Amino acid sequence: MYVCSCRAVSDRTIRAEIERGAVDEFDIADRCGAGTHCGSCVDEVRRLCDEIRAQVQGTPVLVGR
Amino acid sequence: MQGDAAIIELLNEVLTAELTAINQYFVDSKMCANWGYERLAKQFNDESMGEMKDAEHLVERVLYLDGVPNLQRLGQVRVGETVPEKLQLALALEKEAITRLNRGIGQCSETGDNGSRDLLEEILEGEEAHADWLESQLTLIEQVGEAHYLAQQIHD
Repeated sequence: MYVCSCRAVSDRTIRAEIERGAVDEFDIADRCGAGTHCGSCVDEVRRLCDEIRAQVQGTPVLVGR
Repeated sequence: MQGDAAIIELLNEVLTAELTAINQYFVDSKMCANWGYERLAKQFNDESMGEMKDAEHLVERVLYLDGVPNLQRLGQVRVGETVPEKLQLALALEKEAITRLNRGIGQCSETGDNGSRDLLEEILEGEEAHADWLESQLTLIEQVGEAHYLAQQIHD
């Protein structure tokens, strides 16, 4: 699924970046540009980061942000 | 006629979902056409236009209730990258719509706004039929395989 239509970034790309060490929506923005144009997908990118990070790394989800 | 503020917000919430669906199915239709799946392209196009008719009736109803129809707000447009993914994402959208509409119909009944309830019931029937069609397509893909299913979508 395309999460960011502006930069044509799919959920698979975001998953791959998290597997390579990206942590949050800011890392994703730096690495593949998702969320850097109109910004309407940023909430979804953040949600996906939390979800995928919990899955692939078993890392606790960051709270209080 | 001055309508109940909560009902106007409910109608706007349903409108937001319709506007989101219009865009999602519209891009789905154009992507399917680009891939050569004419039959699916027509189906998604018809669904997009159907959602636009729903949106039209919702806008008219909000205006009748002296509210401001919100055409600015849009939900997440979930663009699948393959046909099965598109069908799954469309089904997810329809299931959310069915839940929202059932809740809304209850709210209209409690408020005594039977005109709005009628409208939401009519929209609900359409969404249920669409969800049923999508479930059938996903079952077909499981049963005949993705390649066979896709081969049937090339000609309208």
